[in-house]
Amino acid sequence: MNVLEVESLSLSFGGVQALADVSWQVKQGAIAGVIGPNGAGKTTLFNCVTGFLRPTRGSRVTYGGRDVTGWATHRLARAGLVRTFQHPKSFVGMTVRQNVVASTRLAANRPDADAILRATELEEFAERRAVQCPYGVIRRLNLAMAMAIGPKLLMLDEPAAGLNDRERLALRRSIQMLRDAGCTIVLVEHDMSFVMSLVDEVMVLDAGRVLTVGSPDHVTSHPDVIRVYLGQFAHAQGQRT
Amino acid sequence: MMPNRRIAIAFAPWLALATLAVYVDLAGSDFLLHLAIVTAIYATLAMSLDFAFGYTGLFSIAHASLFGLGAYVAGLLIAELGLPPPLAILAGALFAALIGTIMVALFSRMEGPYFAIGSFAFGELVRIVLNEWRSLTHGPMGLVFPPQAGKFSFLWIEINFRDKRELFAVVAVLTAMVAGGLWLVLKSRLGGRMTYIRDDPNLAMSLGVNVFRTKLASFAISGFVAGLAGGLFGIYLQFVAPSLFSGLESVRLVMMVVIGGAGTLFGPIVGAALIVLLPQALRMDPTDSLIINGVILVLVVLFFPRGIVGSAHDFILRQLTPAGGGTIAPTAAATPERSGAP
Repeated sequence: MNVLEVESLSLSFGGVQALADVSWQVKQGAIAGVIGPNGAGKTTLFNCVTGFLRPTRGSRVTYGGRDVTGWATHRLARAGLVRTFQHPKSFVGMTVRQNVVASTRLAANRPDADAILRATELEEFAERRAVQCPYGVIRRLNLAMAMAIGPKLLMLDEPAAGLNDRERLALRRSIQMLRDAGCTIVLVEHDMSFVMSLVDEVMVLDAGRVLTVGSPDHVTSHPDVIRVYLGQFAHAQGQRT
Repeated sequence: MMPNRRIAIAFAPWLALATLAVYVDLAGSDFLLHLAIVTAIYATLAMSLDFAFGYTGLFSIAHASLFGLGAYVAGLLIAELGLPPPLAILAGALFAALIGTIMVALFSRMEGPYFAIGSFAFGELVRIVLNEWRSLTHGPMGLVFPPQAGKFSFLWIEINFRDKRELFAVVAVLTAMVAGGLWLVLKSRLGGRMTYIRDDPNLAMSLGVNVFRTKLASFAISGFVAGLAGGLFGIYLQFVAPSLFSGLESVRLVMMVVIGGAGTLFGPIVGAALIVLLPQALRMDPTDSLIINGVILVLVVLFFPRGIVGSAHDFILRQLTPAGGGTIAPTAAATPERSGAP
């Protein structure tokens, strides 16, 4: 069963076609990835699905079997469709714990903030002011805050960006734990080793269009994907060696 | 930190105000009573602005207009319909809340300086309407309150608003009630949501906060209190004129909030007292007092960026809290740059 279905999703900014007729499905309980070069439309896709941007007429977003096209962000969040941001955010002046507690207060079932801090391995930073924490901690704090809402579908925008190896491992454990708890995950990410080892299915976007959709093996061997996106990583790897 | 210490810090300004009230009452000076009434009314007004600006991030430069609407509606209802003053003041406050809510609904997508500019224009529009609708408001000549606006009697209660001592008692009680009421709202779910929006509206909505509705609720309460203060001001002066509610007056209110401490609720009381009382203490004319206000603002922004009460609060917290613990409440001014799109 699909938890998210996107049909003919289009959006343009003036003369720039940010998304062009994007159709995609995400299965319940899956971890799905969205990859593509900068400007491919990945974050725009997230913004359209989560209500930050209104797609053009004819687009359709279905979540949990309901047509949610044009729904406001807060309404989607209350229905369990929760997102994080490319640039990590926190409530100013609050500690890490207070940020998580603030999120639990917005949740219907008031989950235990300490349990969430443990699950995201943030206990050691709990009493520090969020804005004074390292970048990677604020990123994981955003995951913790999203978890506190009780998501059914969690959309993570570049969750591993700027994380060190230890933090990436902690993030991976948190994502897998969430999936084991029944949450579906969609993530946009540039770290190919992180994405490909974690996801069940990947969609590749280029210039607002779907290039291909499939398993990590299918995508990494797809000639068009190598040409427009993965080639640059192979080239960079070649330069390093 | 011990909760009773927090309570002590929160209520310290009230103790100071109560002491001042007793002092003023005992002194029995007509002039001091006048200053106390004006200070209390402006403190109420400044708290209403802090509720919207310091706690919800709605940088309103329209509050003097909402204050004026409260005064005009109260005056007109007493003059035209013969309503008793308390009911007229209540109606004025409700009208100011309604107009404020309409303004926020119109400018709901604007943030920070954009909202400030929009609200300034809206406030000026209100002032121009008050100025030009001569058949109703008497235009720039102003509206003189009828004699029945000077007293109120109901059952055994009898208040003579022209007696400064009696009016001061009414204003002081209402100011304390407003402060207590706003404090309770800030501790409620709505108060929490307001601060989340102030800190980061995109993050707040992604976590399920209805930003539009929360802004409306916050500004409705803020507008109500501003209108209430306006009604009291009209009753005190027994007269209102559009020139009392100009854009410059709104800027003066912002100064009261920033000097006292945005996002501290009680700070604006100190800010209002400074702005109202200092020119009187220094016996300055209105033009020179603007210079003094400017100097105070610059000094506060340079040396006490969280305002007088905000900075004092932080200092006391640092003294009471062991190193490494505790948090400092943010202000709207301290909020980092917000991006329009995520």
